[in-house]
Amino acid sequence: MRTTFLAVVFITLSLHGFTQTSESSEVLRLLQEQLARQEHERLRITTRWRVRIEVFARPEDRVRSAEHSVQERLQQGELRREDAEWLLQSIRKSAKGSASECIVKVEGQGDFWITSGKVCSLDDGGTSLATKEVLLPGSYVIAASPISVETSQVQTVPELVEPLSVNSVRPEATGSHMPGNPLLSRIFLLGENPLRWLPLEFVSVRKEDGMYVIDSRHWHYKLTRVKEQWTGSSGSLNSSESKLPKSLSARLKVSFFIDPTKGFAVSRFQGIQGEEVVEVRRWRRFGTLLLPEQIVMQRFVMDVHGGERAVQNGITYLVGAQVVRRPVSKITIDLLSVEKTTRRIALKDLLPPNRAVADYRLGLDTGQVVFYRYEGVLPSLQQLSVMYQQQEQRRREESGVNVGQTARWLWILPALLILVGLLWYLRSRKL
Amino acid sequence: MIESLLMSGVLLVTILLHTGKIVPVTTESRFLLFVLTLFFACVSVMYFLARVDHSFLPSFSQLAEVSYGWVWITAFLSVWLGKCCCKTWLKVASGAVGVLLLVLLAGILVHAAGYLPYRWGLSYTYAGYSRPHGMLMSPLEAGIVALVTWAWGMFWMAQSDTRRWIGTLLVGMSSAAVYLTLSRSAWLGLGVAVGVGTLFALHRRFLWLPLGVTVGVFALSSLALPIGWSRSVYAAQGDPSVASRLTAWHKMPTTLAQYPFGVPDEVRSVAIRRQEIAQPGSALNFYVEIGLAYGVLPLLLTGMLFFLLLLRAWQLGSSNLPEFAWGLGTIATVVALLFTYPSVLVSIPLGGFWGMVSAMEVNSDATTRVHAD
Repeated sequence: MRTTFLAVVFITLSLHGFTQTSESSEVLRLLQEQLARQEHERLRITTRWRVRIEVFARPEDRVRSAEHSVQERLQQGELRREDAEWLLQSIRKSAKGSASECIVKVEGQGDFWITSGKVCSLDDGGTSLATKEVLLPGSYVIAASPISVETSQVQTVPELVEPLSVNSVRPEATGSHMPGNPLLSRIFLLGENPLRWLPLEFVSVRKEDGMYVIDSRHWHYKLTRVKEQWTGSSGSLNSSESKLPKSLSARLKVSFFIDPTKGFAVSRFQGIQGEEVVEVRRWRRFGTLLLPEQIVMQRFVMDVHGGERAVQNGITYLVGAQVVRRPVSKITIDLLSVEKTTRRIALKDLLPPNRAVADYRLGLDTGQVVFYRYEGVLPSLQQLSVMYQQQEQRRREESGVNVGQTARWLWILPALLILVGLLWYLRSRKL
Repeated sequence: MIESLLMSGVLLVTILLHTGKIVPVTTESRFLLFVLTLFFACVSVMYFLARVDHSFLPSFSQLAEVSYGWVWITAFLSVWLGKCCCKTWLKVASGAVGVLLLVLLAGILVHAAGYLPYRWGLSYTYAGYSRPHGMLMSPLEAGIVALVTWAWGMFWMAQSDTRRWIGTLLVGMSSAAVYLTLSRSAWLGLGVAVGVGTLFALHRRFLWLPLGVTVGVFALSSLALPIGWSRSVYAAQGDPSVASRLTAWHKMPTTLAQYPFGVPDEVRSVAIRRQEIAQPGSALNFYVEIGLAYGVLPLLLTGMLFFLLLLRAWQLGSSNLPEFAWGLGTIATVVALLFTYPSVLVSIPLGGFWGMVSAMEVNSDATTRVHAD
C-alpha cells in the first residue's frame, strides 16, 4: 500500500516537473523565434541615435576614503608607485561629474551592422574620435582606426569616416560606439538577439506581470565573461588586486524583460545585483516594427562604508561594513531617425586585404592581442591562439635579451671600478 | 649573486678610498670619471623620459630601475675622484647640482604656498594638509633635499663674506621646508644634527647663530602650521606608515637568511603574496633596502661605510673649520634615511654630498691623497 502510494507520488511529481520543463522550453523557443525575427528586421534598417552620457560626481567622503586606501596600500608595498599614481588620478577624475553627447549611426546590412560616429565613452576626456565598426550578430567587432575630428563636426561624423580601414578585431562584447556595457547597447540599439549571448544551460524563463523574463546566470561584465558567482569589484578604482568583503560576493543573475505587447521587444534589463538597469521609456512604430525611441541606461555601484579591516588567508575583508547603492552614470539614448537601408555594402569590400590588424578576440580582459597582416580571411580562434604563443615567445626573447643584456652591460661599470681599485691598492702596497 | 658581489666590491673600494688605503692615480681617475659621467647622463635621460611618459620606450624605465641601486654609490665615487683629480669637473658638477638643489628647494616652498609646478599623480596629505614636495616624488625626498640645502646654508653662514647672508636665508628656507614637508624622518635627521651641533657649540660660539636660526625658523613654521604637532601623537596611535615599516623590518632577517645575495628578480613579483618575505622597495629604509636588493655582505659594508662617514662628520664638526656644516648635514641625512630611500633624482646629489664629505681633509696640514702619474 505504502509502496503504491510512493510510486504514485513519484510519477505525479515527475510528470509535473516534465510538463514544467517542457513548457519552459516551449516558451524559450517562442522567445528565441521572436527575438531572432526582431534582429532580422533590425538588420535591414538604418537608424541615427543621440547618446547623452552623464557621469555623476563621486561623493567627497568616498573620494577621500579611496585616496587614503591607495596611499595606505602604497605604503604597505601592495601597490607600485606608478599604479598608485594612476589609481589616484582616476579617483580625482571621478570626483568631478561630466556630461557628453554623441551621434551614432547604425546601418543594418542584412547580415551585419555598420556603426559610425564619435566614440561614446563614459570617461570622455573631451577628445573627439570618429570610428567605423562592423558588428557581426553574436560575433566579433571589426573596427577602423579612429580619426580625430573637430567637435563642431561631430554631427556630420558618420559621413566623414570612409572607407573602413581595418585596424582591430575585437571580442564580441565590445564596441566603441556602444556606451556603458557594449553588449546592452547592441541588444537595445541594434536590436541584437540577447539569447546569442546567453548559453541556454544558464538560462531560465518566467512570466511576470504579463512580461516574459529571461534570467541568466551567465553574463559579460566589463569585457569578462562571468557565470554563477559574481565577485567583481564595484569599480576599477579598487584595482583588480583588492578583495571585496564577503557580503558583496553574490550569486549572479541578470534579467531581460520581453514585452509581448511590443512585438516581443526587449523592454528592460536588470543587471548584476541591480548594478545596471536599462529601460525603454518610449517606443516608435516603423512599419510592423516597434523601435525604442528613448532608452535610459543607469549604472549603480555599491559603496562600502565603515567596517574594520581583517586579513584572512592574505585577503583583506571589511567586517561589519555598510553597503550603500549609489548611481554612477546615466545614459539617455534618443532615436533621431529611422529608414530602410538603401546603401548596400558587401563585407569583403569593407575589409580590403593587406591591412595591419590587432586582433583582440582571445580576450580584451587578459590583454592577449595578436598583431598580423590581414590577407582576406580572419584566422580562427585556434589559429589565433597559436599565433599568440609564437608572438609572445618572440617578445619574451627580444625583451629578455634587450633588458638582460643591458643589465649585464651595466656590470662593466662596477667591475671596472673594482679592477681599478685593486690596481691602486696593489700600487699603494708597493709604495 | 653577481650583482651582490659587484656591489660588495665597489663598497669595499669606496671604504678603502675613504680610509686612505687606496691612493687614486690621476689618469685612471679621469678615465673612470669620464665613464661615470656618461653613466649619469644616460641614467638621467632614461629616468626623465620614463617619468614623462611610461609608454614612451618602456624599456627605459626598466633600465633606469636596473641601474637605480648603483646611482648613489657612483655619485659618491665620482665626487671623490673629481675632488682628487679633476677640479674643473668638480666645479661644473657642483654648480649643476647646486642649481638643481636650489630649484628643488624653491619647488618645495612654492608647492607649500599652494602652487605645484609639476603634478605627479600622487599627492601626500595629512589631516587635510597637502604635504609639499615640489618637483620631487614625495615629501620624504623633499625633506632629504632640504637637509642638504640646510647644510649648504650652514656652511655659507660660517663664511665671512656676503655668502653669510645668503647662507642665513638658505638655512631659514631649508628649515622651513623641512618642517612644512611634515616628514618625520627629516625632522628626526634635523633634530639629531642640531643636537650634535649644540654639543659642538658649547666650545664654539660661532655655531649658536646658525643653530639658532634653524631652531627659530622651525619653531615659527610650526606655529604657523600647528597641525604638525599632532604628527608624533598620530604615530603613537598606530600610524600605518610606521607600522608597515616595522613589519617589513621585522621580516628582514628571514628574507636575508633565505636570500643572502638579495631577493632575486623572479621572486620579487611573488614577494607580495609571500607574507614572510620583505619585498624590496617595501622597507622604506635606505640601508635595509640595500640588504634586500643586494644581500648581507653589501648591507654590512654599507653599515661600515656609513659608520666611517659619521666618524668623519664628527671630526668635521669638532674642527674649527666651516666644514663642520657638511658634517652636520651628513648626520642629518644618514639619520633621515632610516625611514626612507631616495629616488634617482635625489640619489645623485645625495651620493655626491657624501662623496664630498668622505673626500674632505679634516686636518688642513694633511698630505694630498693623490698620486701624480
